[in-house]
Amino acid sequence: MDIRIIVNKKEQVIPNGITYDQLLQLLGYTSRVAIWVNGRQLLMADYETRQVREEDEVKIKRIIAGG
Amino acid sequence: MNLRLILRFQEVDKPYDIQIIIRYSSPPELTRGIVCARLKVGDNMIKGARILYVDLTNKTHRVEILPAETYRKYPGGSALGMYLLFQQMKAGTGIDPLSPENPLIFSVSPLTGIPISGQSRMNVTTKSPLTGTAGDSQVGGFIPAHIKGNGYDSIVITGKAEKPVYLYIEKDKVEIRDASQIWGKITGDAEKLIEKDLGTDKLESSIIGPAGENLVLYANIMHRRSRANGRNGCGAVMGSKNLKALVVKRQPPVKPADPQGMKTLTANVKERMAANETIVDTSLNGSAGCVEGMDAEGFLPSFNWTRTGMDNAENTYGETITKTVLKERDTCFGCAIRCKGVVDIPGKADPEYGGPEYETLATFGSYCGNSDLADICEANQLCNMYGMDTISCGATIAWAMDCYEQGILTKEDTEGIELKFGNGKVFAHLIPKIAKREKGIGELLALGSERAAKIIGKGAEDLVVTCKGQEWPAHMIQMKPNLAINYAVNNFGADHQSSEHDPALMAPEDDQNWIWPNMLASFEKCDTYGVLDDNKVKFAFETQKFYSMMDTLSLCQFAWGPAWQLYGPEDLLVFCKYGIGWDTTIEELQEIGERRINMMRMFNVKEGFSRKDDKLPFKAFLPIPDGLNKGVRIEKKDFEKALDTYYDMAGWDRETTYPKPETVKKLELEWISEL
Repeated sequence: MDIRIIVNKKEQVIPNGITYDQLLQLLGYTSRVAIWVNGRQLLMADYETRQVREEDEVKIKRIIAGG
Repeated sequence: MNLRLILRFQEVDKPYDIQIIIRYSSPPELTRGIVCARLKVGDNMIKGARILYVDLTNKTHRVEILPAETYRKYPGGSALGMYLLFQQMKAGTGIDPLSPENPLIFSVSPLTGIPISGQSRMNVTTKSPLTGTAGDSQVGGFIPAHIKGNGYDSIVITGKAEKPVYLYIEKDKVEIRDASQIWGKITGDAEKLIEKDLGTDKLESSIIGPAGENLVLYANIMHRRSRANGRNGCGAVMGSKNLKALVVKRQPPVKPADPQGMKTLTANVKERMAANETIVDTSLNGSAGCVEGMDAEGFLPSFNWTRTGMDNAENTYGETITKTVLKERDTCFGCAIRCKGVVDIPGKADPEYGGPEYETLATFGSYCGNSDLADICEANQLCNMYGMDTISCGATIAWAMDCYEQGILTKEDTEGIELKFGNGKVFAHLIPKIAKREKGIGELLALGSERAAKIIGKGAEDLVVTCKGQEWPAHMIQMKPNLAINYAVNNFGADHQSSEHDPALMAPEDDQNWIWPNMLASFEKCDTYGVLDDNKVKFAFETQKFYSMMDTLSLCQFAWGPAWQLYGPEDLLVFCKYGIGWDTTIEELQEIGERRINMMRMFNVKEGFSRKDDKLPFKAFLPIPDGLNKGVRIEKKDFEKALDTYYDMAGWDRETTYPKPETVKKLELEWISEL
């Protein structure tokens, strides 16, 4: 079953039961990103274990340096 | 337990080392135990610097040793260069940067040449013809390690040769050699002719192309045809001296003070790299990997900073290059990262001239609305052949395109060239014209966008995106607001490698991007683009000091740094300890960086610069017009407030921007005030 979440202000439909690490893969991100869920920032250590839940409001930003 | 202490004074190297040997005479099992400790006399193990002075006018040279106590305050690279610049020219006398009175100074550091990633860097210091400020530019590659291997910490070139020459150094042998047959040649051909002249290819060289000879204001100095002392027009200064090349004989690597200790940093380098996702990407795609990230976040500066992306931008992504035209990855002396991309596009881009970095992909790509990768690679090659900074050259062409689109420049002005956004075919016509300073559009664009805009007027000034006359690198201040401050206050014009970038303040608390910067100072989290507050100014200043220190110790900012890099601040302490026996602290390193920033500022103020020059261009304050971040902006009032905060943090006068007496005293720079 799929669930609906908001990612960077846009609605996304994703498979139920996936972790944030899997969500990043699904959306084409690397893991060098910062994630906020419902206004609270996740630790990187949480990405592999924290499950995405229905109606989560997610903000993802890439950590981009110089070049 | 009986203990016998033997103090043996031994002249290991100047200054004197003291070796302490502790012998245990009891209990018996420890009788063979010998504990040796090498203590230093003085603060650290930085020894005196060996400086080669070359006078091209009088065809003479000499070597002098800069005392250790002086070198320790200005330990290499940019700080040493600034120290020597002050010795060589009287700041504030309005010396023409392209006159014989302007010295050209190549400096490495006490760490250069010790085999570890990211140490083979060389700084060029001079008065910049592009900005009129203290000029500063770094290069990687192999020549830095071999300058050190030949026994020099700095090479100071003064005067002007009567006819074209090149300088050849092989340890104590220093020759000023005829370059009449090499003058006028592109960098690759010049390199081959020098090898022929010297009868060997066991050489490393820094060479100017025709652009430097013709005094293009953003001419660079090329090394191995693909690495550049790129910014500030140092190639024009070299050209003004009739100096075609600096050439050194290759030498064996420098030995670290403690080879075993160094292994704590080098033995596990593969594991370190694999654990760092940004370094993995840098190894795979080089700096070109940034294009995708910028584009995806909606901050790819495009169409001369009027938009934030372009159609088919993915054609210019690092991953696209890797999959299509990449021939191999190249590296610098001793570096495991291998970030240098080498591309091969028959008829367009010869692998001999490397490949485009992120900045080049942006300036000749999105800045110009051009997504044709082959045209970008060709432009990169032409700049490397003729010896021009790809940032200033691409950005100046993008500005000219903007002028053309708005009718400020016409087909008559451009000699029939269709200077429209998206037309990458113009690069092959324009770049040689610029390098040769051909009368008309070539001569105009050779001055850089800011000077060219003043000449043509008609509103062209509002289309310029520069600080202190130097074109902006490809990082938008709406995304990275600390760069609004650092572009403005940076002493040698807009520079993206003079502070860490803001996204580090978004990083999770268990990520090195967050942990490492917070070793320098305590920062607050920022999860939003477009925020320029006291926290950002603090971030700008504290990380600027760290980057300034790295430009002094001549370290690569992809390998060493305070956020995403391979090695962090604490690793650097280990490198200093085992590399040269220098027990230092983060605080001392930060002060070294701060001292160098202040030296440059004092030079500039003496040259007439003040707050009025620490400004941003018109376009900087416009809101993002499109895309994901539409409306994000930096307000001018917030910028002015942040500028005040920066000056206060730096201990500078808010109007003159000269360091206050207490700052001068803290950094022991009274001697500059007294000059």
